[in-house]
Amino acid sequence: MTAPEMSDSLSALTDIDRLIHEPARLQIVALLYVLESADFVFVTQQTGMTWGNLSAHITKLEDGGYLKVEKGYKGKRPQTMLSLTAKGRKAFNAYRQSMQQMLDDLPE
Amino acid sequence: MSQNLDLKAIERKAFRSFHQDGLWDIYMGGLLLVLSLFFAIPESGEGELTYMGLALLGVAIVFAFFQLGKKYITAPRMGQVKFGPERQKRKTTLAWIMGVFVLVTLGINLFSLYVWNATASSQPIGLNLAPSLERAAVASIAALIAGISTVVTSYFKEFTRGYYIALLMAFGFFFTLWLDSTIPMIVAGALILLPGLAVFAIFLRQHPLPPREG
Repeated sequence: MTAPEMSDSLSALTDIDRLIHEPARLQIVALLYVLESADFVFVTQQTGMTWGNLSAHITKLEDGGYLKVEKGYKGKRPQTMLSLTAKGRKAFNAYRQSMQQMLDDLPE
Repeated sequence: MSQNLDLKAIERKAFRSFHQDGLWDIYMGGLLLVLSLFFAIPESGEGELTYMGLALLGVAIVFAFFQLGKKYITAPRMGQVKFGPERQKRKTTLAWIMGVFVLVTLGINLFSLYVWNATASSQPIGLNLAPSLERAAVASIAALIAGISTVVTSYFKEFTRGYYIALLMAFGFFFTLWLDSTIPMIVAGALILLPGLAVFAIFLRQHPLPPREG
């Protein structure tokens, strides 16, 4: 790889979607990508995150338009259902592709 | 990257986590134990209604424990999830296969009744099996029905312990019918139920009730 090519690859790093790139959020998005929807408890169990930590990341993803949060009740218990929006799915696909591309372009 | 983002593995882990509660094992083991009551009915038929009543009551209790356990013990600890279209498709396929299986089992039972009645009224039916061979054939068919249906369910539900359960179910049915003794079925039921109880206890310890949302 020539120096300018290397420089292009490095500059591509700045285009990475930071909202998804953060490891905890990446975990949440990857999990919800393979599911149709899941509640707060299930996501906590699968990711091993604490209640507060998950809540903070969920808010950020919701604000970014990547996550749909539906509050309701299951019997008498409050239940929050989470699912990726079309925008979130598209963003995650784009993130995967760009990361894959960038890593493939790195010299051995 | 590929190791961290193995999406199939993430989905599989999420799906399989639903069998971590041991309730399916308890259900199958308990079912086998209560079904053994049907085979404990003496040849004289004495107390037949009591045995059958107890067995049916047992089946109802085991089924209720499974359903209520999933609803009130597992779900609040594991949470709710809806899997993707691929899983829904597999669920539908399993329902179809099990439907066909029930029809085949029903056909076999009706055929057995026909053979039984024809033999009792000394009509020629072209099946001249020695009693010992007949017993082995009935035991094999029952073992195959119980074993294969559990294997198929385990495959579609990706429930690894299900293969062990299938083997014990087949063992229980075969030897109970072949030896005309309830002991093999009780042993098989206990060997399924006890590990299930252990898995259930571990699940409860590892999954305390989460705080209420609000």
